[in-house]
Amino acid sequence: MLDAAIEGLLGILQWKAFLLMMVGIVISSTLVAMPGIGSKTAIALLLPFAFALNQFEAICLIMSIWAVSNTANSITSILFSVPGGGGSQATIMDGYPMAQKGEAARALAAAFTSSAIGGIIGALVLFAAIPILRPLVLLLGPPEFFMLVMVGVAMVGALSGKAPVKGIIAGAFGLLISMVGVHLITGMHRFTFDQLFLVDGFKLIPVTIGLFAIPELLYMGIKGSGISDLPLGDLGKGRRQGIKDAFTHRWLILRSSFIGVWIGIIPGLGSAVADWFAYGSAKQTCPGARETFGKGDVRGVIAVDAATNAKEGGSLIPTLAFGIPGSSTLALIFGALIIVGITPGRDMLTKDLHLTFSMIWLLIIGSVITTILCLAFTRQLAMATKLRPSLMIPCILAMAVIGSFAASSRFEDVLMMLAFGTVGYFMRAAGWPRPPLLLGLVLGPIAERYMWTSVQLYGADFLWRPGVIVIFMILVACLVYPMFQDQATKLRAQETEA
Amino acid sequence: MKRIIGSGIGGAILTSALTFGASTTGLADDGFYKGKTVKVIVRSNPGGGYDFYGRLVARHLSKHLPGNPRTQVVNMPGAGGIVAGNYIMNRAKKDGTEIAVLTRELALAQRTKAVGVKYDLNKLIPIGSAASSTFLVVMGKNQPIKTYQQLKDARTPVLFAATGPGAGSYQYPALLKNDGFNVKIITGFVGGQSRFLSIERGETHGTANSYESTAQAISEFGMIPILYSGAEVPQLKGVPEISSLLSEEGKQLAALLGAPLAAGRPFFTSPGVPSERVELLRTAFKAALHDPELLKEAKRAKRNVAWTDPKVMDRINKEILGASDKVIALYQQGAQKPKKAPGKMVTHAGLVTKIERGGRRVSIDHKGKQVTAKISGSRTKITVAGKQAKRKAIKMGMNCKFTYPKPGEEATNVDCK
Repeated sequence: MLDAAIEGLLGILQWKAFLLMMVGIVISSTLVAMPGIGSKTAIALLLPFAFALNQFEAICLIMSIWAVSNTANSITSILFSVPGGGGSQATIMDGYPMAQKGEAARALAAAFTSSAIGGIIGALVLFAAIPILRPLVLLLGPPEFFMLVMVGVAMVGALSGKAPVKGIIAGAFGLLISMVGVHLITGMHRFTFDQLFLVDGFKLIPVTIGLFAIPELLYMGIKGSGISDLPLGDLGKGRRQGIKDAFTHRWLILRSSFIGVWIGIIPGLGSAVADWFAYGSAKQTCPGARETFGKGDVRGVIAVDAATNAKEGGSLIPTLAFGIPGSSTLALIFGALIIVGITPGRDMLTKDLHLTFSMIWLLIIGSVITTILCLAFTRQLAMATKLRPSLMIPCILAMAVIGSFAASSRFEDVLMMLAFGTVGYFMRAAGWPRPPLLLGLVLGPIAERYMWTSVQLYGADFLWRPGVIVIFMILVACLVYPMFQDQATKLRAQETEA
Repeated sequence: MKRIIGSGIGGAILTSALTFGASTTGLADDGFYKGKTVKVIVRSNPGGGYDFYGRLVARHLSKHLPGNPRTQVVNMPGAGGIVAGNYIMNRAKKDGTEIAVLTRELALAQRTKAVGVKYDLNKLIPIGSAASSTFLVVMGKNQPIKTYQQLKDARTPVLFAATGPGAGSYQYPALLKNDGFNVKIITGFVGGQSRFLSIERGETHGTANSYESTAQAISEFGMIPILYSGAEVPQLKGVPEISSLLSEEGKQLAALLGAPLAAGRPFFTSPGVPSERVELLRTAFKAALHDPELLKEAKRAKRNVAWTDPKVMDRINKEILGASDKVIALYQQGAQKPKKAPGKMVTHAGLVTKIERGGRRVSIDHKGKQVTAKISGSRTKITVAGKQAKRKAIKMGMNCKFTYPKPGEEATNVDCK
């Protein structure tokens, strides 16, 4: 095994392979980091080049685009409140307020650093899981997945802040619009009003951009000032502080990374769920988080970025264990790897173990290089928050329009983005929490699907499966723990008074 | 010579194209294509099969077109391919500079009058198809059913993992079910992976999937292919072809489902393109698909390439568009969650002897035997003395007639006097 590990490392350190990894990283941190452009698009375009590469080179070029895309996705989330990708929506929650407070450099540095650490943890978990990959993936079935999604639904409470009722209503509205489109399980058209573009339902990216970016633009225009009115201070110091923050909250990173890995292992959940799970759990478990989260708490940024990058290691687990890709992006990656003669499946754990190791090394080295690269530009990026609105608003608006359009090349998506921009503006103005709406949109179809399958398989008895009960207990703990914590804080406060 | 053309940040990705230099020209032409760009519309997002074939053809078509135009791939996803179909029918340029790889289910969508269809396959001009496809019914290795015959004779329901109606993973088990097989379809599994894992976990017994996506699972999980539909595959020697084994009705339905597989990656151009240019496109398409370089690339990517004559495509489409209403109705049963088929009903009559749970269960004395029916508040039609009534109106001692599948089940009609 050690031989394979060394061979894998040397393989990707060959100069040509390493250079291609750098190409992949640059593509990933620039183009893929733009809203609406996913790593899948970039990989599909680079696929023909795989014909001319050897195995390690192909792994380096193709996989690095995918492996590190989460790191740079946070940039637009933090700076402009425009999510760079599906996994960086929750980064907005605390990242953007930090930018408004003049702490953009700190937020970016913390995001990049925790992303690197998360990526490394994800890779290490993948490494540790190699002997037990197959049983691990087979452990949970649809009933357990359903209950896990319910844990996510329970986060609505945490994400609603001080307005739980508004939060639940927003979540229900998200659930409602998640039902628009072709119902996958029955083939029925729901709420499509015979409009062709509604057949595909509401897409996450245009909705998110609308909900979060457009209201900020409007506010910026009304106020007539840039993103941040406060002095930026010493950007170098902010960056150092951000890196330090990540290491101070190492246990939070570890916890969030494990959440990310788990979500990666479960087929069908994906980045868009991982970030909210990590954010919600951090909000429920960090001391004092209920007061400070959403107002620019660096822990909110750290938890999310660690989880989304750790997820990638996790999502390789089912793919490597069974040779059957867990997501469409991974299917595309393995399509490219087949071209160079790498056949996913059992061989990856025996004959081709060195290739598996080269992927693990790539996750680690790629994460670190990307982070160093991004950290190097943190100061320049942070200065963008000081641009005057007359420059800023057109740029962000263009980004929002292109991002909405690029996700699936449909003009209707731009209109949808603008419509949700209006909704988002009024929600923000009236103090309605917006994250539960997104959570409803993301989790609704998944919950429905797993429940449907579970009921068909086991009837109502699916609720009595041991795994389901265990996860249900975790759910209850998630709900009760914050209340218990509040109580404890109050008691302590009383004691100190007395 | 390769280069990526594009404009703008998003544009670079969206409309990027790979162009290749000139090498051969053959046919006589009017020089129309020289300096032009041929757009290849792909009916789905980047990544995936249609995109692969669209880009493969785009990379190699130019060499075989006189004038060696550039080619540019445009992804146009939406509504399962209907958006791209509508575009090439109504909005694309009608001069032969736009071709599209459309969904193989296009004809079925038109025949079943799917929402939003604004194209007409009688008018769209086929260029050729780049691959044929095969569908398989596979069973897991740890369950008792290992052959077609065992499946046919199964006493306990055999569970098939499926995505949902409309998908092949649903249509094929539905076809078997329609032929009287003891099959139960479990829906909600998205993607091949979750279905294979479900079989491996033992929750379900089998599934139906395309050969390309199942080959890996056959070697990885030891899945057993027991039936196939579509193009023959050498690796599946000994596996029976599905339609040869079905009833007459089943055969027709299997033909309808299998027809699109023969032209698995169909390319079309817009109506109104001058016929000599259609000829150029068709010839170039055929030549590209026999180009050794293209074949080499496809082989390395483990994708099959099989040129289908546009005439064959026309015939297949006519066949589907001309399918009888009865077969289409059967198909649609498989495309939508079937309502409970009204099975054979029996009627029993007698005096009411017992009313339980506020009228939800009513028993009568039918020829000296106690029989019970469940009464639904919404589904059961109740009449008392010829007038429509609620279930509470049923009283002890009334003379009632139940119409239901069998005693103990829910009644569809209850008529009391």
